[in-house]
Amino acid sequence: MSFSKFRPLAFAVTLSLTPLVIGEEKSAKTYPHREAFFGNFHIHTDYSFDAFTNGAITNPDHAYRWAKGESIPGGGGGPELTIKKPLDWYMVSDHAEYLGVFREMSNEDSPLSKLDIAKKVTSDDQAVAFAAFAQILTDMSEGRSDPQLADPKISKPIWAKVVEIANAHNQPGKFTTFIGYEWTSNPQKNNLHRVVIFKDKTGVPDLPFSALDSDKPEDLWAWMEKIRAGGATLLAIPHNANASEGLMFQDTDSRGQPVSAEYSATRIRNEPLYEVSQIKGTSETHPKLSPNDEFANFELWEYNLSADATPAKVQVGSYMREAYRRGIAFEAAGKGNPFKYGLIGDSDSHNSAASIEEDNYTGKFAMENSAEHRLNGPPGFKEANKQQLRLFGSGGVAGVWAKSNTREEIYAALERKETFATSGTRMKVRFFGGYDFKKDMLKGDWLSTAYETGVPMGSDLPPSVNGKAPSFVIQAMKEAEGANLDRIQVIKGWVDGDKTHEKIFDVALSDARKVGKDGKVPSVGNTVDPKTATYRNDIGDTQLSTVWTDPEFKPGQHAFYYVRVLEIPTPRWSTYDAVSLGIPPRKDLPVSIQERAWTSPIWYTPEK
Amino acid sequence: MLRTIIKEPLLHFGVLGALLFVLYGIERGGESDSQKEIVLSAQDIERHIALFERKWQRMPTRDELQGLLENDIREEILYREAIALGLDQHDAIVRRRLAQKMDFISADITDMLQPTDEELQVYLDNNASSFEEPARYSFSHVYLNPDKRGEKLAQDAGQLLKKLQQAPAQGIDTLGDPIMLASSFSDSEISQVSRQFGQMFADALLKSPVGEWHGPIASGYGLHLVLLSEAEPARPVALSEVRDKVEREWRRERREEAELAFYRSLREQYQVVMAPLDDSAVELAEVQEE
Repeated sequence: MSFSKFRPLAFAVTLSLTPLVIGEEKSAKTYPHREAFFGNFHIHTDYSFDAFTNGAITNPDHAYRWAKGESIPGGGGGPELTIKKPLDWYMVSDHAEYLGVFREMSNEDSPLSKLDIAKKVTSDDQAVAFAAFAQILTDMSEGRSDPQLADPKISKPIWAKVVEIANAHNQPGKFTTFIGYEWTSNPQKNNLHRVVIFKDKTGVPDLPFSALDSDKPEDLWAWMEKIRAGGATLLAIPHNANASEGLMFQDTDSRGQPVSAEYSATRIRNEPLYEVSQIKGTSETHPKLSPNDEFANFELWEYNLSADATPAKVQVGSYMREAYRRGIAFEAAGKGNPFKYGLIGDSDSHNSAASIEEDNYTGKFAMENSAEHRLNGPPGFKEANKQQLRLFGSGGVAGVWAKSNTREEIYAALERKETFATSGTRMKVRFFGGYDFKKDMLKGDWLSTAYETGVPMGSDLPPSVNGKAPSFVIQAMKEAEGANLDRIQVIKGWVDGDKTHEKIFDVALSDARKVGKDGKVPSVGNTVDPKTATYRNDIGDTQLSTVWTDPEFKPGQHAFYYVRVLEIPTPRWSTYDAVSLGIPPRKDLPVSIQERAWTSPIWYTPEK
Repeated sequence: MLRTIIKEPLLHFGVLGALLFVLYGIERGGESDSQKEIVLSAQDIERHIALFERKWQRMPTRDELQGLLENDIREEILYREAIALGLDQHDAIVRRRLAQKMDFISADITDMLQPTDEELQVYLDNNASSFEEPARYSFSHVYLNPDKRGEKLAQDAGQLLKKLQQAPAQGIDTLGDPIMLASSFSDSEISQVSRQFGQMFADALLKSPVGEWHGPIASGYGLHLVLLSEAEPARPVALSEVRDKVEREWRRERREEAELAFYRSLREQYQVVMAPLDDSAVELAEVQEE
């Protein structure tokens, strides 16, 4: 056994400007028409302050292992955590603010580099090992004023470990990882959080920008632009507008200046995607904002982020659909569209494991790692806080249409917003817009036609020639071992003068159902048995598809279209837990839910 | 009493603050006139400038630097006074963080170990199945949709199978029903097949004959006729092919050993006195966990 001469050089290599190993990517299988790869960006481990105070005992290395299918310790006195179907890609995004505290550990490097001591520490003789440790501890305390701390080449902040672990687990073509973190801004306990993602290790800075540096999104974007100028490729994804009391999607910037074209461009350049579903609820829309949407009341979590379960009161600015409407109104007024977001679903687990499978939900925090604690509440919690935990959803998943499962291709898909969110299941959904789609195009190699003559989700549809209405080709398929599909809906928003509108079209229905004359659709039914927490796939369809033309299209109106796919009802995690505890499901929680997918929109901008 | 109050939520903050000031006055007693010293060295200032520059890609202004240093001073004063008041005691967050830092030390030290090829070869030999190149399968399939074919599903599948067996070369894209899955897969691991088609299908594919149309095989989507064209068995790998991965695993095992050894060596220094466990209470708790 020998020891490396470990030091500055090694870190410089880990941290910055290492060219990509091109050879690595060669073996990755490619899909000319792109494939849906599923994963999570929003995962905390015990490197996050609030994760480990709530009992997390696993680190980023465990997190990646979990996503690949290994079992990891669950903490909280509960069982190990194992995903049933491994994910295609994964990213740990611990809070930067906590990592910042840990960079004070930097000066440990100097004493640790004493190689003879390191040898002793790993000695089989425990007495020798302990004496060595004691020596290190003494060195550390004496070396506290070590001036080397100021030298970035010598520091080994925990961020470097985050980067190193992500890189170590990246297997192009098989399992992709990203380097990232969370910027945790909450002014007055209102959520403005963003997850920050780097395309690869090129130009990754040696410290992340945290909310301690600034809690204003404009400052985060300014920092991102500078890092980008230094050679890195990165983007941010905001989440949980539902916990922002309207601050996430405002008519002004955070200094109170009205939205401008420049503001809109900067915002969307830096954050092209929005996380619409996660453990702390969905934020597509709210029944008060969309009173005609019978499926609007889905896994809502209406609190701000204070510790005392304060209810959220403001809906406007807190939900994506309403912001999409204001976004195209800004565009129509010549101010750009500050809310031109593609959609992903994500987790926000603070226990390394995304826990997205409804029948395998193990909670957001390690302390929830038992059905008893999830449903009846952890001991010592106030009732209001216990209810916050019960209203947690099982999180969401991001589906990404990429040419192969590599950093390069997945990141490219994020940039072009060819993404969709789900509430946790891995159904697939395709969505293209165009003017030349034929009613019967859905056969053979139709994807070539769709890509060549139309635009995929997340894109701009060019202005209509001669006022021709756009058509949309949509196809959805359930998860292999998941629940059947209920329906496909197109959600349209448009600007008419100084007003915005939204409307939901049921465009594909399972079980040969038809839209009634009153515009209503008969329910798909519900096979969930609350006594056993089971459902049957004898309702719904395995796949749904259609080519739909907007019957109300007006070529002069700014509009957006996105697709929502609903599954048939399946038991909520709380129902599975109730059955495992041998108690009836709680009356204040839904027994079943209709899991769903939301695509990134396609935007229509008229000719000027 | 102080501890009880500290456990209370923030609404007691004002009360707590007042109490702290009282205690603070009492503890300081007569030495209130003597000045305590905080030294900010040139290096401390340089460190701030360096950190700022790395984050903002420019030098701080005088005001910004002053602000950072004031922050440091404030933090240092509050930190010292908190320690003097014993606020670090009985604080779960402080305790856990310090314990975690100890674990990081073991990790840092094992990171410096440099294994020899011999050591890695032994590790690879002992864990061969974790590193082997997995079996790979190449196959084509024709899908039949039960929602579309209803009661004729099985009959249609039988007829289509005959057709495929008689003329295996014909374009399979034109047969069967559309599905959002490719019609051919090459060199796929069975775990990938399972993710796309479900475990039931993957298990059946493994049992399919090579080189002839076969089926139908059921999946979560319906029925499939399959042609398994190639089944490449799992094969052991040489160290040179997987050195990085083996080294990572080897390192993890060393780290866990070091952590454990370190903890054991510490544990031996302590005599732990514990009240007897109440057996009935333990059993009750375990039943509730079920």
